[in-house]
Amino acid sequence: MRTLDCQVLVVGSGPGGSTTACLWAEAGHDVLLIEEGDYLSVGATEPYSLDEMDRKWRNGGLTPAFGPIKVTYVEGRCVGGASEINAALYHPPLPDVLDAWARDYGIDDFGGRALAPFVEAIERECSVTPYPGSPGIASERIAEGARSLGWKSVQVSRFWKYGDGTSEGRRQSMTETLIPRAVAAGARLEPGLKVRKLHLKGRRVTGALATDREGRKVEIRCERVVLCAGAVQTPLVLLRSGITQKIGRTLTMNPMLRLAAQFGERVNQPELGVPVQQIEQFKPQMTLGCSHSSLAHLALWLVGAPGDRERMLAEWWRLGVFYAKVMAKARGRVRNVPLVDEAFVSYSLGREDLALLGLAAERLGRVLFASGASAVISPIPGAPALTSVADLGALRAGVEAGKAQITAIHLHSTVPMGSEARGCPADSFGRLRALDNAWVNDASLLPDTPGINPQGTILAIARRNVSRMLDR
Amino acid sequence: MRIRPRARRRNRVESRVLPDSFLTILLRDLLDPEGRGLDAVLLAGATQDMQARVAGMPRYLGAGIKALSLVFAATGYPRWPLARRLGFIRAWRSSPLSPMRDFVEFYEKMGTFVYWSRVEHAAASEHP
Repeated sequence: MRTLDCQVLVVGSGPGGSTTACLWAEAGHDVLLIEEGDYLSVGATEPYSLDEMDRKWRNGGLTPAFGPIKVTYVEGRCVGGASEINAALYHPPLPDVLDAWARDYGIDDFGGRALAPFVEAIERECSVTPYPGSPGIASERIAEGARSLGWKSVQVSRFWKYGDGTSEGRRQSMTETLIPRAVAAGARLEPGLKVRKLHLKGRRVTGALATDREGRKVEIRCERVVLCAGAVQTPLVLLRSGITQKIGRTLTMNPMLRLAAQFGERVNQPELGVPVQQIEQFKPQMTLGCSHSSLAHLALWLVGAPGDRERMLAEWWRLGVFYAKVMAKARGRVRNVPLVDEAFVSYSLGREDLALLGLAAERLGRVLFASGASAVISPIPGAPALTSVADLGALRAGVEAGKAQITAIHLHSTVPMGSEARGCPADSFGRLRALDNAWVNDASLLPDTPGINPQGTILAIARRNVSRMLDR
Repeated sequence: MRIRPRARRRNRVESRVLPDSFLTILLRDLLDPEGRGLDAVLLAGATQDMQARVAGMPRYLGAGIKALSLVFAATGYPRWPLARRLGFIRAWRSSPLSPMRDFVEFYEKMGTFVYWSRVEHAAASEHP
């Protein structure tokens, strides 16, 4: 059996794991960074393609959360994690949200001001950059529509390095930024290793049992472990290791629905990537924005809509996909399915969340019509296309009734940090209360949903926590 | 960089779990119920893509889809005339049992996505 030794074992290579491995390695420690998925460069797959889903997404993207209303979610499963497969849009952590978390969950040395230096560092190190030049037709249309409604909209910066004033350039995911730095500082990166469980001796972790791609066992010995496998896999590792108290029971996510819309002229410019304009007016409770709009995705969002799909798709450049995302109050749970060692995720969207989604759908429809859309395709199966603002009431009612397909891309809060009195299994800096030498440092720690895309928040919190770990 | 080489991609033929002929007919009925005619080569490719999707699902979920697919196929569906097949799909789509509705939704949505991915890829190859 293969055996690996290290001082610091980092499980998972997404934004939290990459930050952890990089900073520990640069501090001179012997770091082993393991990742279940493969190492694939940024350009290895076409974004949002079937090939990418096969190679970079868990289960090819077929990961549902079960409940009264099914919600399909997405997890990265590759070196770099979610940073490799998302739209690379950057949302700075919201100080009000951080301050509320500090207060409500009893998190020490936390809040907008406490996190500010870490936010500055990640913006610099991960190349957070405004979009140069024109953001494209779809963004311009949404900006115009928002303006006409009196709503605030913004161009969102991206984790991106642009060429000389051009809109091309390269995504600055973890495989482009923190992972090369970690490796340069001596960290060993091992893709293709999945941690089955931690070895425990009393309150200490002594190592982990992993398996490689062929299912062969690999023993890892370590002095400390930092779990950064994401909001689903991190609690799974703990549950399989017998650490069960308060683990995986408070899952949050940002449910969203998508609307395809048809315009009188071109709005779809796939060469520009996901359009960067978003409606800021209702954040963080509600975010409205543009989505990936390839031919295959357009076809997908037209399923169930009456009418001639082929004719619409023949003029794909007039079509775009847009989303409405809300900050839901619902909580879910992550369980381990015995024997197969896979996650079973449950999530119960309540009436209040559906009402918020319905309102978000109506607002998205309003801004689309204000942007010049001639038709909005209803996400309610069998419902006719919407052709005016007057039709949006039916859309809202259908969404409130739970008839629309709901997806989620941001999952958090399965091992929340905070005070013991608030029932948090991790302390204010991510150390697990049940163990002396184990930390969590990923989306699992966020005590609640931040509403916005959480990558910036996760990076900043991970950096803060590692600083504390190194100080101690 | 000290990085171990990545694994070979999963061989999609190895991952075949359902009869191709059944899947092809089901996809054609779901994607083109009016019988306008889908591209046969692209449809064959989409069938293989769907095999890979089913094989790549979480095991507890994939087992359910495979079982339902086998039940669906065992009725004699592939040999029926088109009208009867479409009626059978309608019955499953409106079934009071959610697994039957989910079965139709899964193949319709994922089938649409993989077929149009093939269309897109073919168009990009012709006009790079």
